[in-house]
Amino acid sequence: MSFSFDASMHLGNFRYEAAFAADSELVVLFGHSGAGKSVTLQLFAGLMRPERGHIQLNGRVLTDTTARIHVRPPERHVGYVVQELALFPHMDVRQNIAFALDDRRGAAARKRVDGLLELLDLEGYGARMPRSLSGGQRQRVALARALAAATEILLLDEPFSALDESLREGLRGELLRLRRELGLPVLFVTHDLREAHLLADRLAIFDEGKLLQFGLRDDVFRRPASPRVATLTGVANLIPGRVLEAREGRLLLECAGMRLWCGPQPDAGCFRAGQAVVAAIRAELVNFTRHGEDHEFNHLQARVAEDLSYGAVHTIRLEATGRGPDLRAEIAARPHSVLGIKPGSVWTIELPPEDVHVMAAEANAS
Amino acid sequence: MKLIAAALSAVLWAAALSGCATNSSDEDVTVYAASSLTDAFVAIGEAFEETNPQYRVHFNFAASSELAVQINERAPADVFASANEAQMQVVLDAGNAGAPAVFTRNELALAAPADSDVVTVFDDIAAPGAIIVAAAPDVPVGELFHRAMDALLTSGVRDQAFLDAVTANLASEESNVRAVLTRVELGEADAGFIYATDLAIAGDTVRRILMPAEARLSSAYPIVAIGDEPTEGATAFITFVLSGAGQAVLTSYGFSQP
Amino acid sequence: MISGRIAGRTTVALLVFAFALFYVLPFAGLVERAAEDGRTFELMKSDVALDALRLSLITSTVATVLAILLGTPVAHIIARRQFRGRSLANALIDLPIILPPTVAGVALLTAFGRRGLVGEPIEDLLGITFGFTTTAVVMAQLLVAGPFYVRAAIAGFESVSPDYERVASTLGAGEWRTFREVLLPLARSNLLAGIVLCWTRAMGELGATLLFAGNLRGETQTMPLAILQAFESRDLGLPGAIALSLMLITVALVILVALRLVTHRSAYEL
Repeated sequence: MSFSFDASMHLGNFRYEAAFAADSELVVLFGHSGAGKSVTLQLFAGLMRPERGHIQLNGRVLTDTTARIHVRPPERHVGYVVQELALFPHMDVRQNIAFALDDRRGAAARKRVDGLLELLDLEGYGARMPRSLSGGQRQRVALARALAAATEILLLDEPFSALDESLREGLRGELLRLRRELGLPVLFVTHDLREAHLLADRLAIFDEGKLLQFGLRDDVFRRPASPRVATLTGVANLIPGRVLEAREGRLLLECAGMRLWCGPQPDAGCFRAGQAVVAAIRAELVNFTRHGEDHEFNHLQARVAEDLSYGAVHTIRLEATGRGPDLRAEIAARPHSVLGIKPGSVWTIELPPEDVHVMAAEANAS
Repeated sequence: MKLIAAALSAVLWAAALSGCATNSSDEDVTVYAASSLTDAFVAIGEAFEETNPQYRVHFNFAASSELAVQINERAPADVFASANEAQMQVVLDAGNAGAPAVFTRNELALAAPADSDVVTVFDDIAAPGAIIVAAAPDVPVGELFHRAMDALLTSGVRDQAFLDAVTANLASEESNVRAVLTRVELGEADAGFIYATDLAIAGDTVRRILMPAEARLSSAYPIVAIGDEPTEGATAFITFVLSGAGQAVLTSYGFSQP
Repeated sequence: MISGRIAGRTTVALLVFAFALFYVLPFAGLVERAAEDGRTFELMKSDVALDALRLSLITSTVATVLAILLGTPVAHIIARRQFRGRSLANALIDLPIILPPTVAGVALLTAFGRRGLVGEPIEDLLGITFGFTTTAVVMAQLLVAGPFYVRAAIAGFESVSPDYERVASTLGAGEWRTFREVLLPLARSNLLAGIVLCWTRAMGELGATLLFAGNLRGETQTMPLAILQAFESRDLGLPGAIALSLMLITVALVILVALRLVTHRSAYEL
């Protein structure tokens, strides 16, 4: 099972452009609302036509603007679930699921619906009307319905966003189980970073209609392609600097008077000495060290200016006492208490070279 | 209950139908007149007010049958001028007026669209497929039409088959004579039975079809003051209509002498 | 504070009472007169009354069916598609609702009359005329009452989220099946309300029918026309008009209540 997607079109004030491909993986489309995530699903489902594009699913061409091919939505075999679910309120659960079947009354249909009810833990709910179900049950009915036909890909448009956090946890687990059992590719739209991190095999970052970066989840989180992607994926520390030296896949930067070794980084060869860059380091990768050794590289002295506890984690704002940038750090509650971090206390902070990612500075970086 | 209903309906009639719900003072004369009298009575009203400046005349023109019902429902009329005696009788039967006087007559006429060749002579109204329009039997001009058809039969000028053919061609029974004329003017109907007065004011779009002498009936227009004690204005107006000046206006609009 | 609330409530109660009184009194008057007049039932059974009732039922039903057949696709396009002239089309649909029916009658005459825009060529080519026929009655009712259905249908379709149709199409349902099995049931209560409005408006149509179709018993004389004629006639007079009015009111009420019951029984919450 595999698909490829490539499309572009005018969309309101900006231009939509995206191209990516994957196998039977869970691809999370992540971005703010209006970034082009839902449009991607609608283009894939054939509900919108791109100005230029080529969409392929398991070797079948669904859209090809140069060959003037546009397979209509009913023939695409995509399972499309929208945020509001759109369960048909005048049909019971069984009828909703059977809606997608060619022969809705036969014994085969009955068996198929029974199978889906079992798969989604809905046994006994076949005769219920959608309005009498709980939020989680409705989600599962929508998924069952989307899977009922010969579905080759699941397109899920923020399916969990209307639910309580506790329900969402369960359904996310259920989705991962389904994906393992069915082996289908899934396109999952969300604007929830934690949800994206939990579910994604691959991550597609959208912003203002454009696909900014597509790749394996950890690659995108660790090595954002641009400061914008870094911001969108929650990188708390974006430190402007200048390249001093590039050597053997490693870069030496100068940031706010501090010297910072970075890497190994695959694209280190693209940088040259003197170039303006941005160094990215996630808040949770900022290290507090007990021994205040003042190394020349990758270390700085900082005072705890703010310490906010979210229960399991603390987010801390650090102000450099000497050279080096101000930073944001995240630390789990346990090491926080073991180290005895207090507001006003001064620490030696380490930024491990392998956790610092360097990007070319953007003129319009925000 | 009945009192409330009667009061309410009287108020509604007064507001909706007289057009101007004014207090009935001695200066006001409210005349309910058949719609065929519209143009002639407006002219008479102006002449009347000129010679009798103390009075102000208000008109309500409608089908005589409609007016009769309204008067019996206590509409604020001072004078009733009907286009036939039958509708006058409706008001007399209800005891709402004294003795009426016939003040003019109106002759039945047959009109056809000027540019149509379906009906060119009287007998064409019985030709298969001709579309003939008349007023409803309860409208004076409609009643006149039916009486004319009967007269043709009883005098032996035409036979029952002719009458049946005309009846089959009758496409619509309009509620007033102006509607019949409009049908003919628009060419919707091939011929229509109207009053000579309507023909007199109709333009070039209609032409008159001559009728046999036996069918050339006319209806008498009676006029009466409403109520047990007629107002002075009502009496003055009726006197004016019956005078030489009033009759001259009526003749100029195609009416015949009573 | 409390006295202010009491004054407010009293005002509202008085207004409601005044409105109810004004609403009920005319009908009370009708019923009272009818009960008083011994001829009412006899008049209701008269040929004039029965002919008019039959004609009214047939023509208004045909007009409503035509409004559904011709109006539903129009309503669907206006509710779902964006196109040049959409707001113009919307306004045109409302036009017969706003204008007096007599204007519709004149308009029909100028279009379908024997000297009309299409009436003349149609008579020349096919020998068909519309005036003074039952067809003309249906046309008048369709023009005047049809927009009430179309307006309700547009509102009905617009009230259904397009998500339902999108999802249905990805589930393998073609446009017709999606329309029949998803959109129609979801817009059902609006559509039924539109049908009732259209049907009752057609039953009560007078002005356009009188102008365009004329008035002949059994052919074009619907209930409102018969009531008008009875009112003006010597034989039937006001008692006849009252008897016919009561018939029309009764039939309309029976059908309205029946439709309400049907609608309510199958109603589901969204």
